[in-house]
Amino acid sequence: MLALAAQLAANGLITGSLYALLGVSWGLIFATTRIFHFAHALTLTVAVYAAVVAVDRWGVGLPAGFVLAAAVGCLFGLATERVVYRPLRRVDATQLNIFLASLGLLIAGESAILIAFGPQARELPGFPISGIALGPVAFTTTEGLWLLASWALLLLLIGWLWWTRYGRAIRAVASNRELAQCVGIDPERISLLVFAVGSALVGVAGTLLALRDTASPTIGVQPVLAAFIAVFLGGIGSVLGAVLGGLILGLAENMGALVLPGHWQGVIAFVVLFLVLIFRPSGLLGVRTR
Amino acid sequence: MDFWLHVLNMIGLFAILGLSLNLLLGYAGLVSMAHAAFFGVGAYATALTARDLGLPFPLTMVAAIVFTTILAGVVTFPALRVRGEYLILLTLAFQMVIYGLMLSWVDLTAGRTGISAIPRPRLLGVTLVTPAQFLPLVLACAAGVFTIAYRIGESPLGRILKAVRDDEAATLAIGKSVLHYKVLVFCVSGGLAAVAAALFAHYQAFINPFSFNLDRSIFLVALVVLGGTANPLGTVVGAIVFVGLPELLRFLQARQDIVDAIRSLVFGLLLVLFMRFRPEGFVPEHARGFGWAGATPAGASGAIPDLTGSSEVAADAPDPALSARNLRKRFGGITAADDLSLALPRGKVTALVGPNGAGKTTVFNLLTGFLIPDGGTVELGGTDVTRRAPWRTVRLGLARSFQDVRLFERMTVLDNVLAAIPDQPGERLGPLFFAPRRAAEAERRNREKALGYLAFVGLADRAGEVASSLAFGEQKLVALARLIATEADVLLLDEPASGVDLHWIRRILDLIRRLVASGKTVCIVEHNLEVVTAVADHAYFMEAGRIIAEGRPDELMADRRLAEIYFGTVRR
Amino acid sequence: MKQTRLWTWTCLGVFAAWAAVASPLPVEAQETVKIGMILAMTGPGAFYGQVMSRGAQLAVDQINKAGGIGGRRLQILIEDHKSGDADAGVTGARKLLDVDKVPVILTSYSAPTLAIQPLAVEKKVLLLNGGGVGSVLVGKATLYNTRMLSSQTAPFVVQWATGRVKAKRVATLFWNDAAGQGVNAAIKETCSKFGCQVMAEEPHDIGAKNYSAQLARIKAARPDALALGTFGDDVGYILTQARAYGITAPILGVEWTPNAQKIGGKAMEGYTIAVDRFDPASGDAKTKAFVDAYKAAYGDVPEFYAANYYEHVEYILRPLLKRIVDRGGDPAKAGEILGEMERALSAKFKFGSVYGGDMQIHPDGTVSKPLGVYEVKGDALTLVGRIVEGKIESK
Repeated sequence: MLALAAQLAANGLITGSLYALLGVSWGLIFATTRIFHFAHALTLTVAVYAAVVAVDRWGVGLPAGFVLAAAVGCLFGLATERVVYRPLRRVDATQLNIFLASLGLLIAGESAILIAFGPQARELPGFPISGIALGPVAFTTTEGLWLLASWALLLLLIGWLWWTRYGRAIRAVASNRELAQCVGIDPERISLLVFAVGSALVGVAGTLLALRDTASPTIGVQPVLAAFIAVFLGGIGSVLGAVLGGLILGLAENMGALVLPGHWQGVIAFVVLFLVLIFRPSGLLGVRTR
Repeated sequence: MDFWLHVLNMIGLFAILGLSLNLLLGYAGLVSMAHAAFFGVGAYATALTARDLGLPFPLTMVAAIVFTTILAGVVTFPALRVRGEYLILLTLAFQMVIYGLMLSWVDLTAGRTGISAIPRPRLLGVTLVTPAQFLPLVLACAAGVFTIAYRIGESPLGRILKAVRDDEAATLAIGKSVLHYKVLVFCVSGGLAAVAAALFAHYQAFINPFSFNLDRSIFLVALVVLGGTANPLGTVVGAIVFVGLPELLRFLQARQDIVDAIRSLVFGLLLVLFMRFRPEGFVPEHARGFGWAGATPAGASGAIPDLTGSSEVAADAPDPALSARNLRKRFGGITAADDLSLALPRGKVTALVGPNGAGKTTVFNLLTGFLIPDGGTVELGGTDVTRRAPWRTVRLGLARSFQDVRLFERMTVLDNVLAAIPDQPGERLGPLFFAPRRAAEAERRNREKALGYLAFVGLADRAGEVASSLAFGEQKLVALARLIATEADVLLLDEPASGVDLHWIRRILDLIRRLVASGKTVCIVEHNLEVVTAVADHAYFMEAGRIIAEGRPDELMADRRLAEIYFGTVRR
Repeated sequence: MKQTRLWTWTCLGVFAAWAAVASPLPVEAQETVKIGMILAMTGPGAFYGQVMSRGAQLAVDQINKAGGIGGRRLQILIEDHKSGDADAGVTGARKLLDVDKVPVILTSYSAPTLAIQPLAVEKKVLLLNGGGVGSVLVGKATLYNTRMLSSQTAPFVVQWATGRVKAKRVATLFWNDAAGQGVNAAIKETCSKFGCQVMAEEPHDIGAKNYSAQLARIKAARPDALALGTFGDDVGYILTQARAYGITAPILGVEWTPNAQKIGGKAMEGYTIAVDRFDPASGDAKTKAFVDAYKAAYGDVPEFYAANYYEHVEYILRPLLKRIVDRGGDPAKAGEILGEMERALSAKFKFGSVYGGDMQIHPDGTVSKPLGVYEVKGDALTLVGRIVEGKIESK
């Protein structure tokens, strides 16, 4: 029993780390721009397909594939802000309308990818899958990579947000947009910056995911839903909150397997979100109590 | 031909679903990503009661409606406290949980496999099997739901829903319970969705979770928004366009997997384009205010109303009209109200003055129930209203206005005032559907009243215009008319003279005097000391949550110490 | 706003006019016999849709090239059930039945097949299923399954487990739908007869790539053997992860596909299945002809699913159509093909099989094909036991 709990906890921390990365990638954008960027899922998909095409068709090495995913994700995210969201802001669109536009973009984008690449799932080759055992706990090499890569990127991001000028500027805008303008920070440029960074991160996160799950046109939705849960669980506006939220989500999903059959995982995640929104909408480490 | 009849049936079913969602999303402004979940719950309720309990057709629909309505009501409660993106996420979470249950609770729902061999309905001796046989039933139900949705939407009830959509705090401030209406609209929405669900289950004779997933919810929201929110006709158009037209694509001899993707691609693009270029959808919401009782708002019909209508304004009415004792309120480290006591003498104007941040608006919030005090009591004419919900306090005779006006922007001027009139039978489902003549009569009378209030503030000729199109000064006057329409005796005006120039200030002061002359008790928060001197009989001076002086305005103004507090150190 | 109204009504008018006009079909349709197919063209199972349609299309092309049957050419019309969405399946079926008036539909996946079946009964259309394995598919009017169902194959998995592997503790991991649950149920039932105990029953979502929770629970149950009720690519992913998580017990199942082998690689070693297996390398001349033609047309060696749907057209429909045409009937007429099938079965007609030899189709809609137990050795399946009269004879 203890061995099972230990294994499930390990699984939980591993997926939780990836959720943390996903959550931060989305939460950064949301806290700073207040745009409910559902099309983040499309950014993920596009980036993953770029990596798959590069690695599978053109024979590029896997590390280069990751870099490409980050770059493509970054550019695509920037494009969505410029081409879709900014024009909407110009006409004072309501929150709901921006949300629907984001959804529309996602639906159209997924369909376009399906038409261009076909509906079949595509492998992302180049990473040998074998097992690693640490006492009673075992995980695959892919999961090990998730753990390492997620934490490396998270630590880098946190460092950047806390100790560099741009990072502080982002935190300023996220905290109080008007006031940040008063001290000379251009919120529009910061918006672009967070879209760039957030989208690059989600591209990498998606590629990590695709190593296990293969790429399909709809690969982006589930991870981004997990990102929402992580952010709202941890508290909007708090990077540490999103990390904590991701870890807790991963743990809750997996530890649930102690009592529930494994295919209930998805339900657990949303029950968590539901409860958080009812009892503590500001999240665990929420900065904004709106 | 059968195929096209099938398409017609699907259009009818989606029209019903869209209409039920429109009440929630379009009229009440509550974005629900869970409508497919309600649809699914209704369908499973139908299927299980039909197959396992052997209930015949109309009863299965009743069972579905009951079950779904209760569930919708239950969901409302967590949804009450959240708005905007929180509501979207909450309903999304609910949708995913229900979907997950449908998939995983195999003992009840048979999971992916679904429930098959749902018995066909028997109506008037005919077993309905083919699309042609179902069509009359579907069309009849669609027409019925359309009528219900139209009736609700274009009635005083619809007006309150729109008020909730536009500004919840203002809705409370005119004496209407936001909670009550939210629960109502959720329940009605769920119940109507169940109608479609029951028809669907019997029609397909087979249901499985895939028909009720997140994609379906998103599709329904998009259908309503693109068709036109707060407009039943728009939803029907949306259903025809988004359910019917894509079927034409089937006839393209293209690869099957591509055809579906093309449909989705076009759908997604349409969403983006509409949001950018035509957010009001195909058929926009009518903001013309013509409507239900038929009268057009032309000219200042009716005399200025007798504002002494309220029965409590008798000679032996309690004085002071409103008193507060020892009110306390802290927010974290800040004391917003510190052992504060005041009394509003009946029939007089009292002013609350003080520097910014003294806590004046907080006092209003505490008096009216928008904030619950940590300690102390508020008595309105002898009744303790300390912890009452704001809307209840309004019904007892105490109403407040807002510093930032807070009109219902998307409604007409007349509707803004109409919404505030208490005891409207048309706001209740019962009278609306079962005593329509009484409701129509009342609406006519209320219209006259509302026009009278508008005439009182001098804006009767603007009655048919959308509120957001008025100048700020005019909006303040409409807000005043709305306040008076609540028929409260004690009126708290938050900065009535701010943000407007002298011309408006004079009008507003004149109105305040006339209100008091007819027996109302008025309290104003004001920064403009000339206004205070001009109209107030009595004033309280506040600083940092405490009342530090009271008396006649000219006395207070002469006090040097107060002047220093208010203006800063006086320069010699 | 008036403009919008005008525009809207015009569009609606055009639509209504089209609807009224669209119904009658071109006369040309009289000559071809249309075969409907409802497949997983999109979604996680898109692979199946592709190979199934390929198999059937190959047969149709061959028949048409030889001049058709009695001068009547064949045409395939495909609709998509999006990997198991019964709704989509039903809408697609309605179009095939009402607009195209197909006399036969080749279906796949248990849920859509089940949903379509009442419609097929109404319109007197023959349904052939070569993919779904749910036991719910037995005994349904007009439906004939040309693949052995889970209730028929799973018992042999248990027999093997208890016989060869001497397993007392068994764990199951299966698709959370009628097919997988059918396997699980059959395994539990057989276990009670053969004296093993099912320690863990773990359903999983179709197409899920993450089995960590289920595998963790299975590992904790310490089984002597793990039995899978899983199909398609998922098998490959499960084996990879199971071995990586340190589950060393033998793994058994009811399905193997070349794609799963590619995915699983070395982890697939030792995986043992009891199936009515299509072996492109064995069989007889019929098999070889099919394999060669498929390779020439698509560049790949055909596998189980392509074979089944080829078989539907070539070895079931062709003889039926020939019989109809020979007696002067019109195959495209409603009920003809279905009626002919029923007549053939009651006359104990022998249907050839692309697997080699014949296959026996039973009136209850099940089929008997040569069953065997196979093990993955190297990168390919090796026959390790033949199933004769309900018992496994080891080689």
